[in-house]
Amino acid sequence: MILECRQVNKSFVSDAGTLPILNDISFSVLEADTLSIVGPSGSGKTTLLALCAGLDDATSGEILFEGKSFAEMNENERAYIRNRKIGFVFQSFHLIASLSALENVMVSLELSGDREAKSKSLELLERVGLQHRVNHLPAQMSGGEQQRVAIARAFANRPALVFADEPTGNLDEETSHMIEQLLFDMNKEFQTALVLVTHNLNLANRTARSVTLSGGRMIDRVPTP
Amino acid sequence: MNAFLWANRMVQREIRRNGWRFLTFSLAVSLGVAALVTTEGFAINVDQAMRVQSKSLVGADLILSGNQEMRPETFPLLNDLPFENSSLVSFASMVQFTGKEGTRLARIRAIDGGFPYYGELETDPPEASQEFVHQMGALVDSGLMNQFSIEIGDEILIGESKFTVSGRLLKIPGEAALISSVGPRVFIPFSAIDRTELVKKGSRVTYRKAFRTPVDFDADAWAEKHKQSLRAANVSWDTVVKRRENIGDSLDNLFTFLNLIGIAALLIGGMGVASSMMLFARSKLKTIALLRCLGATSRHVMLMLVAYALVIALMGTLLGLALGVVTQLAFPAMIREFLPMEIEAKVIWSAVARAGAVSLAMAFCFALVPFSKLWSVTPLILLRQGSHAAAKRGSRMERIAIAVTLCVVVVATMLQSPSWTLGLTILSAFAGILLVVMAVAYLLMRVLRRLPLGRLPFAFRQGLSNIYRPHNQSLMVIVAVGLVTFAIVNHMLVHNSLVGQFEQSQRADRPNLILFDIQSDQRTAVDELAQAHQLLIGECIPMVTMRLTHRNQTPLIELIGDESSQIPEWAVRWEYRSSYRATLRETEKVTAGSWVAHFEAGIEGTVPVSIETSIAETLHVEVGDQLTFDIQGIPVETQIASLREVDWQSMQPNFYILFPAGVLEDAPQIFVQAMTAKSLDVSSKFQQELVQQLPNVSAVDLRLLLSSIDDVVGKARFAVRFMAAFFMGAAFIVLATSLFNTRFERVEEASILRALGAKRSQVTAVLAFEFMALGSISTLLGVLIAVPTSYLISTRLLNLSYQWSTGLIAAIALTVVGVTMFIGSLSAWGVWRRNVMQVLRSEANA
Repeated sequence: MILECRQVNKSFVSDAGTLPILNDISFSVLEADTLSIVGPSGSGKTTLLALCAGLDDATSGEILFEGKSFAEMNENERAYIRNRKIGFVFQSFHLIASLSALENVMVSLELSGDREAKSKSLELLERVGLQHRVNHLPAQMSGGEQQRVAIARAFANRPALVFADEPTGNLDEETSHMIEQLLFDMNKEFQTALVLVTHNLNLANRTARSVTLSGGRMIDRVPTP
Repeated sequence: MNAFLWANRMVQREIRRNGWRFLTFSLAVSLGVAALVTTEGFAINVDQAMRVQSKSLVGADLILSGNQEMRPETFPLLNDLPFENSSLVSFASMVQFTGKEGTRLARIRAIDGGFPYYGELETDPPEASQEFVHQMGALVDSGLMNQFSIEIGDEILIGESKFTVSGRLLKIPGEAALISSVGPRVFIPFSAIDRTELVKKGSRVTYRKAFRTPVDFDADAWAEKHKQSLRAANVSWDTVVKRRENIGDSLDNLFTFLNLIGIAALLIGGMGVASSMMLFARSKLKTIALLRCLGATSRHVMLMLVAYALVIALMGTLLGLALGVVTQLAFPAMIREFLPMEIEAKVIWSAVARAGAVSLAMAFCFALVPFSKLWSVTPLILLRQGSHAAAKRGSRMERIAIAVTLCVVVVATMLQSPSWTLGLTILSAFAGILLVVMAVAYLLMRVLRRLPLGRLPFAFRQGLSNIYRPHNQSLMVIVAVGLVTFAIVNHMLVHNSLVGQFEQSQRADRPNLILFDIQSDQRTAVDELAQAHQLLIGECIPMVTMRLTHRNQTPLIELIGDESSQIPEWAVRWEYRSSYRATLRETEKVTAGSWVAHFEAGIEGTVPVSIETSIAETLHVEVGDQLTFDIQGIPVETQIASLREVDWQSMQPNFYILFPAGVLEDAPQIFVQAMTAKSLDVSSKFQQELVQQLPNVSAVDLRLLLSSIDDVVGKARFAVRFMAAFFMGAAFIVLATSLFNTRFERVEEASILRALGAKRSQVTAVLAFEFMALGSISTLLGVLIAVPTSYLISTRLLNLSYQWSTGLIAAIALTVVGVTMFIGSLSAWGVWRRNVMQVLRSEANA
């Protein structure tokens, strides 16, 4: 099992009092699994993603990554997990504006000290169909191309799990289909688990399982894998 | 890849893509670095020159000076100095250039012996320094020869004797060339002194004995051992060590001033870098968050940010060092004339290294402070727009970075200052000015925001409100331009007061010709000559020479060297030239006691005198204290009846000590006569005839003197302006980079306005009003602070009457606002060429 959430709760404390965001969330993700987290705006999807990626801490409950609780990890261990085991794809692409497509992919590999960062990145860019755009800056590419670079970067370290936060939210329909297809193809090809956060039900329907959130609670029981 | 290599690679990529941005960030500190390199190099050049030329600063190992001729029979201490020596005589006299229309008061000097023993008189032609003695010729200051178009071979008249000019005097060991502008020098053979008939009993002549001593003779120890005897004989002494200390003290002031400019330029540049970095750091917030998402640790991020700061600091430092090397070579030539030694313009690499290290540390810290916020950026901000967790968590690191930066600034300033006290003073002054500037800038912005602008045109309102646009760096721009305005207005107002003083003294109704050393029996002749040349005859002021011997019955000679007495030696040795009269002048004001006009008892009683306030402070006396003067051998008891403030800038003969009428009328005295000549030509002809008829009488045309002083001040001002330009330049770079760095916000705002249907003229007007408002607030700020400062400098420090000039302020204000608008317009150039949708989309995706 790659990821396991056990009765996770998250609340924020402010001057106005305690604001519960997530309540008793439990689910798990297996190798090469696909899972979508759906729900309306404000339902806690993004907060759940942040907790699952070790970017934030749960108020109670436990999140285990490959059997080890994030709560037991220090910041460097979490950084190691994010670099080697997790990939991210964001709605706004978040490429580094001053780096070329190739360099954007290489950054992730360089952080892990991979000596073949360049060749592996070139392979990945070829895989996502951008071999002719390797030296282009993000500003010189379309939204779809930028997202393909982001996907290549997410898969660069052959992670166990890729989180995609509304990966098609900023794209037109045609490009969205292409990006969706690419994500699922690479999920199969790299045997990487894929967790999608979306409110696009068509996209959610393509995953094996789904978690539906409403008001911070799971309203659908996730089928046991 | 280890974290160092990774950070290095990331920075290399950033430079490859955005190198020009780094360059503009670093420009702000480069001028400060250049100023420091120039100052450091100059200080070392001077120090080296002083070491190499130390003996030629005096020309001998020991020089004794007095106003009596020194002979073994009258001054037995000479027997203690059985060394090679020279006699030097100097006195002031009019020099007339025969065949030319012109006379000038000059310092006449004669040497008997091999002086100077170290260094040499530089003349043109070189052999003239030796030959003028045999030819019975004269060496004349080069500046004086140029002023009156004198050529070698021309004749000059000094007293009753004519001399042929044998050569131009170019350089005298240990004397700054610029002295010749105010007090020109003429050398004549020693044996020709008597021929001039100017050195007689009662003449004001300085006699010197210069000694070349053996290597093992300690001149300073000898002087220390015999100081009581020397003082009793009214003989002062000069040695290499003493001269070096005196010159060192004077140069310390110069170095302090130059260092102040360097540090100020570096600090304002550092603030500019910090300000630019703040925006750069803001633009890097998401990049850092992304890198954290990709697995970068805090160490990775920290190393990358440190590398960014280091690169910017290095760029600025290297640029500054390159510029500094050039100015290090150029600067000595600018102030060569002020220095008593030859300075070889050469690059001092140790100074380059030291200034480079100091600057690098300061620039690095200033660049790093804004990045400190990013050290703990959470990747969450990529998921949640508007997350401020990063800033909050970074605040501790930011505080540490600010504390380290302040420490570096303090240490750097201390290293650049001759003393800790001075360093702290400079630092406190700069911090004080900066705090006041920032506080006033903040207040002005607050006031502007509260103004009811509702009825004003849209463009005006929008332009003003843009000042409060987030991340607009308005405060930084206002502080930078405000400081420049402050410096310019302050300088110009003080200069204006100085010029005003000169102009006032040159008014047609004011005396412009002063005659000195008129004997009682020469007054009628002087008056007749003046009438013949149609000169207006002004006040004739009697002058009686005296020495102060006792204060409240205590002999002053016993107080010399007694630190508890706090009376400087010069005040005791001083030959007071006092006067007497029954009335006060309009330039004098009694501040304590009461003015006594007449005293009938004469010198038999205790005479009530009036004493000038500054000398009263120097002598530590007040109303009621008793002073005893030696007037031509007769002790005269006095009591201080009043303290007087004197306007020394009035260009009239003024006196420390004033006696009432009825006391000194029969004492041996000379007269100073004030006159008014309609033109320089009339004055010149009168002086020529005066020199021929009464050679002992000296005359000074105030217009020529003022012109000479103006020349000296002008040269000094040029050197000051040259160095001040570094500060101004740094401030303008800060202004330019601040405006250019906020360019995107302006382009974006203009795009929104265009999308909403604004016309080109409306958008242009909005931008113009924004820059105009920034320039106006800055100018107002600069003027508000400069006016009281220039007032205090003019009235308290320079004792000038303050001259306000609305026209001058208006001209500076218009220029500063114009320059701000010009640079602002350049920064907004191309707003119209940007595609509206492209700009708005790029903002949406940012």
